[in-house]
Formats: sequence, structure tokens, C-alpha cells
Amino acid sequence: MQTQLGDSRSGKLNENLLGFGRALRRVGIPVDSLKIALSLQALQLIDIKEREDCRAALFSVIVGRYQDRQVFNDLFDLYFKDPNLENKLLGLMLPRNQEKSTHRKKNNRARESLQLFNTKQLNGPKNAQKIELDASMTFSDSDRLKNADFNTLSHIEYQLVENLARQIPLYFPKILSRRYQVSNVGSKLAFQKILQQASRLEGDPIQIFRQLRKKTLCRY
Amino acid sequence: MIQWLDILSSKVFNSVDEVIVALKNEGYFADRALATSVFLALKLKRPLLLEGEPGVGKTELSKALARSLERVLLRLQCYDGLEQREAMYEWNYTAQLLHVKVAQGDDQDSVLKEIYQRRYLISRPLLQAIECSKPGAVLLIDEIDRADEPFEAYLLEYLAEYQITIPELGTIQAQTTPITILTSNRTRELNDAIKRRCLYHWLDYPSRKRELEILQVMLPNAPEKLTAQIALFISRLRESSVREQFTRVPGIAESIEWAKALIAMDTLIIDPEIVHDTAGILFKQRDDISSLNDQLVTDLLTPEII
Repeated sequence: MQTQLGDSRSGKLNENLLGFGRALRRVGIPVDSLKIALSLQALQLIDIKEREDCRAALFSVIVGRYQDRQVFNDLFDLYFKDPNLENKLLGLMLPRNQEKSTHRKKNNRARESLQLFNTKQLNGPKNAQKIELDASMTFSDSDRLKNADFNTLSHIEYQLVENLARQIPLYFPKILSRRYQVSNVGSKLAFQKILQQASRLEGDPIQIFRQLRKKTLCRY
Repeated sequence: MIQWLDILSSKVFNSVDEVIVALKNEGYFADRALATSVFLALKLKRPLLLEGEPGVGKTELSKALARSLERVLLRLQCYDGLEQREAMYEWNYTAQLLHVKVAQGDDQDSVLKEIYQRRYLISRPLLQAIECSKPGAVLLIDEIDRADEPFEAYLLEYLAEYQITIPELGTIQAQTTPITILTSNRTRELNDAIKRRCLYHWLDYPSRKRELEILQVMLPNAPEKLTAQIALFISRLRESSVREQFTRVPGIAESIEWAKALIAMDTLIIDPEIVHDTAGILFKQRDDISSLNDQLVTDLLTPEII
């Protein structure tokens, strides 16, 4: 059946979106099945031929944090490759003017998530017994990260940073509440209690009750 | 028949381009990504969470959208200590007490039933949005990051189902789905439960071209050269190399205010002296104003080589 999304019987879009969702999960962006379903719905509403519309729609549905923006964009570019890529490659063969490179540093997290996906598919049970020896010199995690560039961290390095950050003891004691000083103003009226009591006593006399002060959770 | 008339009379957008045009007619220049998010929020009937630096037009979007859809704009301004009764509903205790007084001698159970009637309920923005008749309302929950974290829990039912449960009355469901826009300046991270229920869009500073369009629309009497110079100056300020020197770079709101001030001062061309005189409009921090030194201002004002 030919629809706006192409041949719906082959289910290519579903597969692609599922794969994209899995890759996003691998780079640390939380994607649940509801988001995948919603993104499919979203893509059906917009013009799927417009690449930037698709990007905006998927970002809007899937991403919920500003920090994930760059990784999402990198992964989107890698996963949904430019259909004109072949033409561009052909264009590279032509003589060209020397231009300043405008490419920014690519995030390794996005690339690595796809590599992991491909190697998992390729390496079947055949290679399960293969033993590899790593004889390279090793450093401690903190030493490795001391000179690392945060914008180009790989997925594993990123997890390492997260783990190390969790281990850093907080300088300030944890304050559980902001309200740590008792107000000079009297506590608020407990209207519900007043109302209940009034209905019991038929409104005569109306007793005034006040809300209990909230307990301070601060240690000071 | 009535339903069909309602559908025909209510404004709907059928494409992203229509959203762009409709917002443009209301004086709001949305880029394509933002328009796509708005379009999807309308079509999927999901709340839209807008995050971005202050002054990039998050609140203005809601206003423009309400105008373009001919809907009522309801605004809930969040602040530290905001409670459920200020956001959703509150019982009119004074009236209820009077009712109890009047009903002296009646059966206690029946009095209790009588005092929890709809007429003693005071609607606040969320309930107003739910009860709004066709074509419905645009609800703006502004600066949600300023509210306490526990307050977010009160919003979950509304954001997921567009309904509010009042223990004494039951559940009130929206007849017409309100368009809900939440804004945040990202002073703190919002709860995942809120984010899961919303579509998300990060509103960035506009491009120079878009900023120039905004200035021309907002200030039609301003000289062309002046608006072009303002747009160039502000866009250069926001470039990453310069941006690092300031705590916060000016948003669209500040650039409009600056343009208004320059027009009021009969300025035709911006020079370093006038930049220093009016720097307080662009920057709100003393350190930022002092960072704007002569050399930097001269560099920022250097005309482009075409």
C-alpha cells in the first residue's frame, strides 16, 4: 500500500525508527516505546520528505533535555544519511577551491553507538571463544579523563565521567528544605477544619483553627 | 449540525507552513523547527515544553498562538511557594461558612453535601482551561522551573489526561482540549514525569536575519540602517567567542528595548559612545557592562565587508 510514508507493508520506517531509538538509548538518551510510537505518529503528520522537519519532529518527541541536543543531531546525521551523499562524493572528485573547513568536532558518542550496533550484529557465536590480549599501557580512570575534551567523549568515557562525578563528595551538607526559619507571621487558617467543626456545631459558634506549622527538615 | 459548525468555525492548521504564516501575521517570527513543534503539539494534543534563555520569545509564542487561533489566553505565572489552590481550584470557605450558618438545624450530612457544590468552587487557571468552552483556551504555565518540585506532581494528571480530580466532586474532564505551553528558563532540571508528557523544544537566540525581521515588524518607523546595525551588533555579541565574556547575552526582548531607546534618542547610526550610554538596556549585570570595553564595541560595530 503506497502511502505518504512509502510502502507501509515493508515497514521500513518502523524499523528505522526502532533502530534509531536503540542507538539513542546507547548514547544515553532515554527513549521508551511510547516515544517511538509517538514519533511514528508525528512523522505521519509532517512532510517526511523535508529532512529538517523530520529532525525537528523527532527531537521534539524524543528529546527532553538541552544537553542531549548535540548528540541527537550528530546521531540523526549519521543514522539518516543524506540521500545526496553520492552526488557530494562525486563533487569531491572535481577540482575545488581551498576553503576554510567549517566542520565542528564531531561527538564520538553518536558514532560509537552505531559501531557497537554493527559489531554486535556481525559478531555471532562464532567469535564468542576468541580471546584477545590487550598489552597496551593503562591509566587510572581519573588520569584518562584529566585531559579529555568533554565535547568529544566516547560513550564509555561519558559513563566513566558520570560515575566519577557521583563519587565526588558534596562540599555543602545536603539541605532537605528551603524553609528553615519560622515565619514571624502567625500560621494560616485551616479552613477545612473550621468548616467541618462548624458543620458539626451548626455554625454557632465558629471556632478558628490554624494550620500546623510545617516541620523544618533542615539540620541547622 | 452544531458540532460541524463548531469544527468549521474553529481554526486549525494543516501544515507547518500554515503555522509559520499564522504566527507571522501576529508579529511572531518562528523558525521552521519551532513551527514543527507547535504543529505537532496541536495535532497530537500534547503540551509543549519550551526551554531557552530569558528573552528569546517563549511567552510571546503563547500570546501569538492564542491570537492566531482566536482562543483565550490563560496564564499561570509560577513562583516559589505556588500551591495547588492557586493553580487549580479553591473552595470558597467564606461562602461555605455562611451556608452552614443559614442551614442551622438541618441534618449534618445533608449540610456537608450542600457545602461541597460546584457553586462554592473557585476556578483557577488550570480548571478554567479545562472548563473553557469552544474554541478552547491556550494555557501558558510560565516559568515552571520557579515553582517547587512537589508542585509539578499536581500538574501530571492535567498534562496527561486534561482532567482534574476534585475529591469532593469527582473528575472534571476537558470538553475541548486546551493548548498547553510550559516555559522554563532551565534554572533547574524538571522532573522526568513532566517531560515525558510534553513535547520539547529548545528555543535558541534567533539568527541575524530573523532578528532583523522582528525589529522591522516591531518598530516599523525605525531607520533601516539602524535596525540592520542593531541586528549585526547583537548577533556578533552572541557569537561564541564574544559570548564567553558575558554572564548573559541580550535576548530579543533586550534588542527591541534597545532599538526603542535608540529611536527615542534620535539615533541614526550607532557609535561606541551611545553603546556605553545605553549598555544598561542590553545587560543587567554590572560585570557585563564593564566587560563591554571600547575595543570590543569598536570591533562589534565594524561594518561587514561585502
